[in-house]
Amino acid sequence: MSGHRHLVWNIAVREFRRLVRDPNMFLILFVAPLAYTALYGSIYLRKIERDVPVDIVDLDRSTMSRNLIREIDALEYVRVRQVGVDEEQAKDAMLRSEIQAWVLIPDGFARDLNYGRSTTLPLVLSPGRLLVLSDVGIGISQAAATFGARIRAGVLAREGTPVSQNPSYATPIGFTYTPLFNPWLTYGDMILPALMAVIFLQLVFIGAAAATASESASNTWAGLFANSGDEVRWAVAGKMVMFVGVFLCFAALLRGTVIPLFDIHLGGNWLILLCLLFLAFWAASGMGIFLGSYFRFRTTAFVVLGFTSYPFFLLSGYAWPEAQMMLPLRLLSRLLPTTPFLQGINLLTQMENGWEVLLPHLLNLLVLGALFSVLAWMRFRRMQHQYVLAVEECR
Amino acid sequence: MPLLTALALPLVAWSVIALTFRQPIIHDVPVVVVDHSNSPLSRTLIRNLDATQVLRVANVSSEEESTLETVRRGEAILGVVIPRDFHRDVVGGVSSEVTILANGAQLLYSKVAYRSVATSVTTLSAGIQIRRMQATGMASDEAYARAVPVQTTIHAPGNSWYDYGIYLIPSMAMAILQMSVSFSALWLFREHGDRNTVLLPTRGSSALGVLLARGLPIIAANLLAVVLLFLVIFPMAGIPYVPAFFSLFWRTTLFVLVCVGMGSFLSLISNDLVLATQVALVINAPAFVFSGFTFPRWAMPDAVRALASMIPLTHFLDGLVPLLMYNANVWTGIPGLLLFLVLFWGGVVLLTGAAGDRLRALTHRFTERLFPTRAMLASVPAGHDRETER
Repeated sequence: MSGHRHLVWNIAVREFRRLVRDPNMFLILFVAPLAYTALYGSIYLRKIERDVPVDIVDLDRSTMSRNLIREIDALEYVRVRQVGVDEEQAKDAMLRSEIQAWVLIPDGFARDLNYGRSTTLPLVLSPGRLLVLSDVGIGISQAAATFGARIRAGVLAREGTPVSQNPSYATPIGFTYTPLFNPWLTYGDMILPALMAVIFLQLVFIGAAAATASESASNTWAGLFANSGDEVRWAVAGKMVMFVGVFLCFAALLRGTVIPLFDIHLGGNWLILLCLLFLAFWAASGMGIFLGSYFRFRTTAFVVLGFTSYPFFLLSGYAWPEAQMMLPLRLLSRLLPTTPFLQGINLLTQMENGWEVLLPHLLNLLVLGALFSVLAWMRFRRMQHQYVLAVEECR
Repeated sequence: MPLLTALALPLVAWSVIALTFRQPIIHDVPVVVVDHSNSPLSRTLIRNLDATQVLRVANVSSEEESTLETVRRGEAILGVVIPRDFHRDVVGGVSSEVTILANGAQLLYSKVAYRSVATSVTTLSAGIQIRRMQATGMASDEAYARAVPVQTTIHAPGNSWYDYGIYLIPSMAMAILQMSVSFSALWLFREHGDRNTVLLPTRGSSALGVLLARGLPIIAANLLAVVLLFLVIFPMAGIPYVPAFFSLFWRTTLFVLVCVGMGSFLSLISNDLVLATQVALVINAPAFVFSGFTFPRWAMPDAVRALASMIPLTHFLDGLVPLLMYNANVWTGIPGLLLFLVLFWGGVVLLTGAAGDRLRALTHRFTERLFPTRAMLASVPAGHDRETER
């Protein structure tokens, strides 16, 4: 082994030993990756919201309205909790979050349809749930439209229009819906890969920062510089090697445990995935080491960087479209490893794209990795300089 | 540090969230159209799609493979394929079918875009149906009633535009508030320092003194952050004025007191500040996801639902939505918060009371067994990896 490789290896081993010995760091770096992914994954175990409670206010109480209620209840997403005649009761139930939507079938519903008059169903949805509008709203609207189309066909047939021979007369333009990825359009399948990715990246980032902060708290900078032969670049490199290596091993372990357990689709070229993971862990550990050197205690690192999880995930454009964000925020998000990593993971593992599509994201991570490595190196050099000055003063 | 945690950190995080949702209504979702028909009717459909607020027709082409490749690469969210005989079939009284291909990996976008495409297609279809009926001599009102016998009108009270920001920003802000309050309260009985196992006086009048001298500024700083959240961050994020402001404020004050109790309690039962911070992080990091705001609690497994109910944020958010959306001061969530208040502050009183030393010794022995800090420190050579006691 050549000299500098030996130094890097020494630092990596030193870092590994320190973190294994420290129960708090052990928890965050060696227990949390699997425990957290399993915990978060279990939230989305069912992947899809089924049986969303919905009330029906049936003011018509006719055979036709009961048929419509049965069709609404047959929808996968919907469970008709109660059929009543009191609008206020439905409003109260929604206020208390007992239901997420309610439908009003107006008085005269069947009569209007039988006489060929149009009728309107007010559908009131909970305004505070992301998925209810798309799943329940679209589902009930379509069930009502299909029900109406059938009634229309019946009326036309009674009038002598040959609807049964020519169904297209009732619906001139139809449509079929085919999802290209995530075939069941489940929230779980969409969010789980990103969740696993962001948990890993945040653990690398916060772990690296806390580990670097503990050099200050434990007053072990001297040992670090001595082990790196007083060349801080090897100290930075050794720390990075440890974090990247450990988390790549955890990623492999995740592939064999949590990913099959939650049936997460993981497609795409494994070599690109490896490059993506490597570059992302490198950039995140670099950012963590650089920022961690400013903290005197691990507690401070945990507390301050704990606040980054929500903003980093939001800025990544995974949960909220990047195109909807202001330009300065979009530019800022490109300085965080989370953004190219999550977008890359989605493009690769879910949409199974190749090098040509992933290249911009890989390059983004490469630039960030290099940037944070240089920043960490400059910061360590400064720390070393301060340390040498302090030693000389003591003499 | 407690004041920084209570004031500066949440303000930064809230500002990022508020700015992220500055345009909270989804618009101009890129859609590509494969127009095999290239007819007046297909062009009408494309114009209708492009005229919606949600959609932006990014490309129209007759090349199916290359156009749909843009959906596969994630550059477009939906692909709409119009068949070759679209116009001829519809004019000839035969039904025609448009294919919508969605990028399901970008779920939020694709569902919103799908809703818009489906509405455009259905509206065009109904228009054709009406014209056909009018051609048979039917009056326009009657033709409309026949073409659209049942229509649904969707209402979302308090959020008619289905503005994601209106409910996501306050709920996410409250998740951050729980984090900042409980973190800041970790220092209530401790001086700063990772491995500082020494507590400030926790007995009798000294404990009361510590509680008043350190607790009151922490509570005041957190309440100041709450006021800034309501008066600066919410308007900045475009959250409409909440008429039941005082109700919102007293509920949030109760939530702050619960979280201060939680932080102090965690700090007292842990050996040192690092462990307390980690436990607080484990509770706070997933709190928002557990609360059921992004994925509903009724769809979670029972064990996860039980875990979610052990987090104060879940109960607080249950009551917050009716208040923000309907201006309704319901009692949902309040019993849960009151129970937490009693449990956490009861725990703090017990641990600082007469039997406090013995109780703490018990809990510390338990956590010491799990996380053998002192034993570990003793095994490390002095002067090297030994944590400085400050």
